[in-house]
Amino acid sequence: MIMPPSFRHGGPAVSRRRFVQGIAAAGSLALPLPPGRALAATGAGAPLLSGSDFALEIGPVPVNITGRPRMAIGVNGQVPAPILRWREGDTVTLAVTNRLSEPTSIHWHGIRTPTHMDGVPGLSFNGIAPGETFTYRFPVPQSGTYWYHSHSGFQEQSGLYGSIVIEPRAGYAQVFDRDYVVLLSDWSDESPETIVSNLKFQSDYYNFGQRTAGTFVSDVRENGLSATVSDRIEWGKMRMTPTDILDVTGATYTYLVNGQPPAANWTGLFRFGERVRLRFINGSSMSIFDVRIPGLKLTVVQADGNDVEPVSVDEFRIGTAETYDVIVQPDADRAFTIFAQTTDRSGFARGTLAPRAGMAAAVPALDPRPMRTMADMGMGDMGAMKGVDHGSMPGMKGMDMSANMPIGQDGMKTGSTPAMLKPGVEIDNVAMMPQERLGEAGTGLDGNGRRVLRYTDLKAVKRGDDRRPPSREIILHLTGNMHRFIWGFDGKKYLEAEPIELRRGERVRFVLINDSMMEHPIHLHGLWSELDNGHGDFRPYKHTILVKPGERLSYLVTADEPGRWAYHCHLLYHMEMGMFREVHVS
Amino acid sequence: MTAILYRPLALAGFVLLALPACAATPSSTMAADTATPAAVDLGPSSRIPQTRMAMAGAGHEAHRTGVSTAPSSNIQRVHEGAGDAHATGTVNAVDAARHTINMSHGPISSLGWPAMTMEFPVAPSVDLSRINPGSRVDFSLGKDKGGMYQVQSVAPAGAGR
Repeated sequence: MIMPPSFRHGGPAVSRRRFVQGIAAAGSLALPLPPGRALAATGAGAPLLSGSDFALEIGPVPVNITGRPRMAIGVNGQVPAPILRWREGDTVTLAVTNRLSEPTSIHWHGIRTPTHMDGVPGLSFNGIAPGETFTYRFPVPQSGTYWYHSHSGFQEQSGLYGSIVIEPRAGYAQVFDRDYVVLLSDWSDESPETIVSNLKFQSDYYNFGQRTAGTFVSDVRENGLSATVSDRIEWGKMRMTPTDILDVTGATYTYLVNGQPPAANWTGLFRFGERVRLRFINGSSMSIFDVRIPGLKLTVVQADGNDVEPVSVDEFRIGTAETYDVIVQPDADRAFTIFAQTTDRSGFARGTLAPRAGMAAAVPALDPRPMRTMADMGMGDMGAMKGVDHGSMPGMKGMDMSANMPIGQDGMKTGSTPAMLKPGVEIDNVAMMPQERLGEAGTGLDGNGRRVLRYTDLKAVKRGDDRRPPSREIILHLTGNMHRFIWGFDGKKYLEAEPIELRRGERVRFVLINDSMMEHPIHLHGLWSELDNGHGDFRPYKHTILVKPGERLSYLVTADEPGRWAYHCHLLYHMEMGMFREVHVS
Repeated sequence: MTAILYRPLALAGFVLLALPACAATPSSTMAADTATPAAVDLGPSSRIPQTRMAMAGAGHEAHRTGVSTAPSSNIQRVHEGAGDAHATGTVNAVDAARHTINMSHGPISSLGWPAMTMEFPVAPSVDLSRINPGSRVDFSLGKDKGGMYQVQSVAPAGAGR
């Protein structure tokens, strides 16, 4: 759909190692191009466009990430698209021209635009036809780190994403000497259509980490035969393997920092003693990263574009489409590795902070591959296991959970399960005991010995300005049949569901219950999601909230901008497979 | 089969530094030995003149439905005190708006810092109006709540010892 298959496939085979690491000078290729379409830079990362008037041209861009030439989709010949620098309070004009052979669009992620400027084909506008120029124009009411990407098909996976930095009118509360965007993403030499067809064919296609006869033997040795057998039976009933953390893995992905694979080693320079602001953006399609810089404390100062009380951590998890700004102060005249491993530990993005170009520091080994637990199934925290390192739990050791298993059980009447939500083709699990998990760092992180950011650490610097209590609650279950790769809200795909209706000006509480066993980064367009995380009126304002498996969380929304807004999981293939709703503010 | 496939994945983290050698296979003609990709530095925080409103928190704008504006939060940075480093330096400039001073200081052995000229944020408790450019001062450096170094106290050189 996006590219003729021949664009992407064929060519010499590349070793596994090469596509994990990429090549040393990846990125856009300087090929002869028609006049006026010169590439600004080769392998130099996206350039910076500042101001209030922009001309952006979307078109095919030749790239070479792994050693195999491929066609990507970029802006002005750049993959990733250029960094756009705006100023709070300005009105920006962006003329976007489509040089592809299919419709396209750009959505300004997290920006509070009027509804028809939001860039979602079918909701905000009709999309941008081939050869057409669509001019976006809107006031910029906010500041901070955001990003932009295509909202058409799988174009985002093919490279159509870039960063947005909005300068605050009042200046920065934090003092720093340098300021870099660190845009994380995932690249595959396979086409997105191939990836999704593989997932539909076999949902664990990219998960090689399944437990085998060999691990069965070692588990029997550690846990005893009956515990191991019952463990296997339980997971078998779930129709899911406990090693499934992400659907698409390092088996096909090369993970990028500002468009550069690990071997190319994107490097941000500093002089000793300086403070460096790093604007982390997860612009990937299907990846969640755990980020750290060994040897440095990360002071988190902003989340999703909004200042938070500074909190000093060793590591943070960044869900797809989230942003975190951190400030670091290198305390030695040496290189430091920016290490962003995926949550399934199948690969990593890597960059470097260094006093001089060409330096590198040691790259850490990937952490052990985590396992899902009963808590992830929505089966509660099993009392005594609270605070245990979930990542190292071998499974459901010695516990007979069969009486509690939701699948195929009729007549279960538990408060949190709506009567209408029954396991079936589109729902293979219902969280019976969803729990508060905001205080957990997440699967594979809790108990790793590092201070990891938790959602409960995020406290807004500014008190929320709508103090009204919510007038009603909207409860939504995040559901899926992982085996068939069907995803939805409340067991319904987008096409089967009615819009969520909000009255203009009303304040509501959204309650999300994650019945599936995967994290879902849930993004509401156009309106802020104020996460209720125990800080009273100082709730962090977010645009994307990462919901853990088996978790129940809530956030407040003021419906202060009328229109038709997209509301969806930001894992691209989950969204495309149905985890998408319209929120209509009338 | 699955075990064999999985192995290169687990090893990937260890082979990284050996890579430049591995990358030179025949199909890698595109992978010229160019310099490390250059980064786009957006510049220091001082590129935007700071106003009093900056500390009130950047990001979300007021809601649009006639809700009252919140009083700005009162931010008090707590200084931990323990482990402060002491040094002597010459003040080059004082920026009252950003509450920073630029100093040329000698080596700070407890931090392993060489002699440098740099700009420091200064704790709110320090009165900058009494610090004059050109003067030689003893100062202490501590970490703020966020773990960042800031000047905790300033006194004329030699006065306090």
